[in-house]
Amino acid sequence: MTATGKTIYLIVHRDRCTGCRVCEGVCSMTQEGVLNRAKSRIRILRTDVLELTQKVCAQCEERPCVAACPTGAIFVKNNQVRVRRSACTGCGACVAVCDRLFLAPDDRHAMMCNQCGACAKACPENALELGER
Amino acid sequence: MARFHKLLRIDLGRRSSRVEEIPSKLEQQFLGGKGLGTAYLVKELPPGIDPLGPLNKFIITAGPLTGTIAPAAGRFEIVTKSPLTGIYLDCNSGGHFGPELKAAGFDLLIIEGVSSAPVVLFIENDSVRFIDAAPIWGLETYETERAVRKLVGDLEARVVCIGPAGENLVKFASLANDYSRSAARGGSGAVLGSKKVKAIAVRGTRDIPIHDLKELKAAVEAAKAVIFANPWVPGQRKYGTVRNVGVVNGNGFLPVNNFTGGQLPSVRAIDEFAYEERTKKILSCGECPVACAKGYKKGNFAMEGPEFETVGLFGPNLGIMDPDDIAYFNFLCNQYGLDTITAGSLIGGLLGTEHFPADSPNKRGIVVDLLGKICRREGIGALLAEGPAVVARELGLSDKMPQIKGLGFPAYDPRISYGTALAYMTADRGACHLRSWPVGRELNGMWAENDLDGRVAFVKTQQDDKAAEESLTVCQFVYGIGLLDPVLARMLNATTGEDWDLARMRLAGERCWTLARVFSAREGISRKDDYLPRKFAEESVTNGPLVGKVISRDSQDYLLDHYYSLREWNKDGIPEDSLLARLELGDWNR
Repeated sequence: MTATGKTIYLIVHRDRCTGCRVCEGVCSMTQEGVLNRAKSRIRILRTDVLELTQKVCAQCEERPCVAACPTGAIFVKNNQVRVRRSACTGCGACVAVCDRLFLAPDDRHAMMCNQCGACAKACPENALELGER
Repeated sequence: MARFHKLLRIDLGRRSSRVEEIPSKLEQQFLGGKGLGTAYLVKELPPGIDPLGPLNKFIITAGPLTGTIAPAAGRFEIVTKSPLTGIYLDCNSGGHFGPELKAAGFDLLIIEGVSSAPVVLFIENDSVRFIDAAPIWGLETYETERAVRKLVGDLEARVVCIGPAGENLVKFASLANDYSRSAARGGSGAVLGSKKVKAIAVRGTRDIPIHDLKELKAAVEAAKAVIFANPWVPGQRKYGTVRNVGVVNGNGFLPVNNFTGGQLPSVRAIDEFAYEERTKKILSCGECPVACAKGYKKGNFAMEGPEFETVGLFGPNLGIMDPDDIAYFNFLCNQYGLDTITAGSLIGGLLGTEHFPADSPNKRGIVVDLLGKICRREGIGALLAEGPAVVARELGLSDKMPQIKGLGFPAYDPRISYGTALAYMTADRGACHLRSWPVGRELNGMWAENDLDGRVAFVKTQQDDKAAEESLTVCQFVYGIGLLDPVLARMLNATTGEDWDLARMRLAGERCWTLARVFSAREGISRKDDYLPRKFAEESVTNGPLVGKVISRDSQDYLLDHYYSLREWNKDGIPEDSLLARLELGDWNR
């Protein structure tokens, strides 16, 4: 928790994003220790000819993932939604209610942005930054 | 690593697939990408087969750097026998298909045989699904990509597909990926069309193996420094390739009215500033910090581009100066799945004939009509769909149709320089500007006016280096066309744990270039096919700095003699046995 009780989240400046997906590689290396964009917690989808859709946890106030998780693996601590990997059974209830978190392709553990900021530092377009509210 | 050492072979006739090991000897000889694809093509294709028949193979490769964090290394290569030229063809495209193929665990994909019915191939790691494509057969490319993503049910899948032109076997049909990017030249789309493959979707979720990630990260930082020290990059980042319009016009080698003029009083209407005003979105290929794709949008017409070649050939080359008309032609080519370069130079070749009156007040309408007819092979389109060499022969236009070996000219008049002429004359797939690019140095006075030998040596080396770049596979716009920087070897070694340096990479490039010629020579290509059309040897442009300049037949002969000799090819342009022995290709089937 920040001193003021605020929530930190990743801000995506959509107009600046060019879809290079540097963030995905950096995320997987930082968080999972391997280069695998399918293990990234941020996804840049090409949704039409000139259209990109960025998917990353926004630390929203509704927190449907927390409510959906049957094992308490997704929980709130210090105003931040977090995943406890040891408690995650890979059931997929979270990704059924929100498309901003992901299951790892191999062991199916839930993966959610934890605001480490590595992607923001690496983004060549300065399209990502950490903010709080 | 970053090699999986695996190829996926898909047999369309049997609807089966199998995974094979790629021998490490081949990787060490050919690097990857274009080189490896070329090796398999030459090994597996018997001479004389029909490019649109069941014996042709469609090879897609990802290079050893593809899918890693190496900047601007996310491209992929297609290698096949061209239905347009009847010889060796490789195409290269950016976007994100290459990294996805790599993440599926493959360095190479070989598609063979013919499907009995339209099919979409969906490769998801090791699994290959053959999905009925009958419901989407006939769709234009953007609609196809949207439909395929739905068919496979994965928004993160990457798609290459053909449009109606590929289905109709138009011989310069292209392959689209990421909606409006293209692997366009030489009819790759027609090859897929002949195999009844409407699209290939791929989804990969494997860890990309990196030998030494820490060293790779350091090498990537060094590579970024190299990239941003490249004086060409800032302009490319800001404007994309279209900023060439003014430069090329200023130097008088812009194609005007089918390469009759070389310069216009002003190109302001179609230059980078004109398109900058129309740019709605900037996009990049995988891991690229330059992001040169400028997204044009007007109403429903959207695309990445138009790029310089398209602007030159659909603009001044046809006497059209409306940037939105040019973009619309590009859009139509994208939708149909047609190569804009061959389409533009071919339609330009018709200027002054009954099919395209030079003084028509409705040039836009004529071009739109011709593109549609080509796509559907309707009326005159049935002939035009055969490509510039056939059209030239049938309509008696051989002297001036801008093509070599059947491939239409890009948007630079080769009379600008001996180096450019030689680059077109000797490019592996026919007239192509992307195998060597000497003109910048020539304009900057690197060689004395009469120093042809210096130019020849440069073209030869750059072709080899470019083949190596496309084997890696990295982007020429970012690293420079055929400019091998040591940082590429550093990234490659960090990635693979192998031991590459510039000399070895260049040798792999030379091996690839030589084998491509071996392949084409088997199909009957020799010296006779390496000349410019007569017009470029005998007539100069009518205006601008190039007035009075031709590349005479004598100079072409001098260039070829010297080039063949440097390449260790005989007088007829056929690789010598001694060369094949030196390159350890002695036992390859000629």
